[in-house]
Amino acid sequence: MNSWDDDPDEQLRQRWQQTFANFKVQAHPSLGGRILNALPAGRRRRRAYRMVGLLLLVNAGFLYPFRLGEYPDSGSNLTVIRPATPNQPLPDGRIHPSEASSGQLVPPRLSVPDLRPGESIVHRPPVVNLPTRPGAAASGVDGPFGSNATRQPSSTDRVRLRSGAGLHLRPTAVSADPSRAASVRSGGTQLPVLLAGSGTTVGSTPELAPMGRSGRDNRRSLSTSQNPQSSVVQPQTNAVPVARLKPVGILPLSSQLSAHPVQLPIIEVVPWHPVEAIVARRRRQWFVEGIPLNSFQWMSVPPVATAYLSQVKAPAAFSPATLGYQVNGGIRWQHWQAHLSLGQVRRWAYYTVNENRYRVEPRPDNPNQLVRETDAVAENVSLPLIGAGLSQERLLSRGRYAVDLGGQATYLPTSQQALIGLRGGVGRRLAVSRTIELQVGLRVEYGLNRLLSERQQVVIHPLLIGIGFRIQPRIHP
Amino acid sequence: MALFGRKSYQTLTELVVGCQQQQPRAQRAFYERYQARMLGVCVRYTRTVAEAEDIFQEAFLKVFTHIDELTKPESADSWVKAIVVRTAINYYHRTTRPQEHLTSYEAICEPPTSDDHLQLLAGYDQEALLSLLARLPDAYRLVVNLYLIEGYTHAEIAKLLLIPEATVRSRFSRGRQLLITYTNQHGIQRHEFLG
Repeated sequence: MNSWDDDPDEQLRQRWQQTFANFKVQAHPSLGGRILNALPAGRRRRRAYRMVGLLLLVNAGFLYPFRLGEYPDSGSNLTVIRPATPNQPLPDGRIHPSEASSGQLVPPRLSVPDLRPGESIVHRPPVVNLPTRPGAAASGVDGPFGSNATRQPSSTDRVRLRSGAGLHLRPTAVSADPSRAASVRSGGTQLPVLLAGSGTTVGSTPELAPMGRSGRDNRRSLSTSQNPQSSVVQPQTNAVPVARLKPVGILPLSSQLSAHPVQLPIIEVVPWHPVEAIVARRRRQWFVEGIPLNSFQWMSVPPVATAYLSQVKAPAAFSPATLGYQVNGGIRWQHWQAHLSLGQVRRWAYYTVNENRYRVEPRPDNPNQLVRETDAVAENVSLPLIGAGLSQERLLSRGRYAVDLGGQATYLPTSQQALIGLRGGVGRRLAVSRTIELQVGLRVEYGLNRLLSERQQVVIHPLLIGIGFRIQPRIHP
Repeated sequence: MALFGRKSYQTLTELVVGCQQQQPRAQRAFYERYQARMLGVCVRYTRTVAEAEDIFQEAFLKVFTHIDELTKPESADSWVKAIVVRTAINYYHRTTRPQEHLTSYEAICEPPTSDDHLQLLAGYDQEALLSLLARLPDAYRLVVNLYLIEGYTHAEIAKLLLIPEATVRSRFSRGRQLLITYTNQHGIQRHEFLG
């Protein structure tokens, strides 16, 4: 065999190929994300995520106005009764309620079910408590009026009143107890109806209001009522808008009028949130919060180190706590609150990296010992932060404490990194004035995703703890 | 079913077909399969990791863009590596060569004192060899990589780099001499590594 045919570097080549056969360098996780996001499939997935987010936002916005009444502050819901003057009997004997006068609240028209002649509809508040009056059932009142029944709330329940049996019905106003009304979550307006012929008050009271008390109130209010044709129910808490619904020019009736049967004025009671009240509540749905922050961070070695880095020795532990602050401001609706935040935290990080650089260092046993270069890194960086978040708030201990839990997305412009974190807190509610309250409490935020240090050698797990001071309009428990 | 469960790709063919259908999960799996090995290839061709990552990113975008052209999925390993190597060569032509100054390196070249140094080089461990490789001038490092590690012949390298074969031989020879020179400068004896 001719020795010239042999590759003189073949042995060297084999050794090098063996050495680098399994040579691997783990890529940085963000590198993979950049590559995959640049692909059409990645772009499609991002578009899908955006669509889902948009749908969620649209759904949240769609549901918002319909669930507004569930907020604890909704005890002042107004029940608007459209007056029936002038009464205009329909051809079939029914009387169509006239529209509210101009400038008044116009609730949506409800569908009128089939009624027998002489019947009208009263939209009933959630619970009906009826006095024990055996004669009432026989006096032309349908439904559960014949017994002392207490029915469960139902938004679709209606009370049918028949007016053609010589029964005198007259809706009256109840002098609502403000303290009671404030404790009612919704539908707190009381609507009693007087069975004039029998002197019985058919009262509809909220679940929390005792029957006996409301009954006494009903009777007291009846004695002060002078106009039997008045079809306006006037909760005291909303006297002004309801007063505008009163018909003009009705003369007071004589005291003997109650002895004569009177055609029942047809009314339609529609529980409705007045626009003014909603707007007023919306104006009050804000909050401002300042949080001096203590920032802790747990540092560890990234699972996928860069090629420069083979080992990070120390500290890989909690860094010293640093001070910062965060200011949040936002809006609330129902139990939800959204906020924007600005702030600043400081990061201290100390660690040692062993890099892929070597130097020759003489040792007693080996004058040409190859020693790896080591760098001690100290990072002391001020990190401004901009964020937005969504959380849900609940009241505890009769409203003394407020607890909220949610999430926040924060962007750190200095390091160009984003942090998705869980945030929560518990605060004590303190009344500052009649309209403003202060919440003082503990706030905690924990980053779900990790941050990288300035030289991208250490993974940082941020934990922010602070005492929050929050100002907001008072909310009723 | 992939709707609720995590679809797994049992074979390389399934993986490649998934990538050809632009399934995000397949692309992720494909990337995970090759990322460490291919970044290792890129690191050998560059002086810094940042450059290696640039090549790596460009190469993988090419891979995913042109994976439809891969008719034999079972040969994906060599196909991906070929794309990475060619991307590294393109990067050299496009970016590295305009900044290259060979004259400064010529001065430090010294002839090898003996053939034992070739054996000495062969005795290096992976990290030490990589650090020596990173110190080579870019043109020499490229040829040494292609010849010693990738296994191309001088003629093939000449075609890849669009230079004469004699130039390739010359660059390899000088690169090998430089490696030996670096070894001498460090004063590393063979027995320290083998012994």
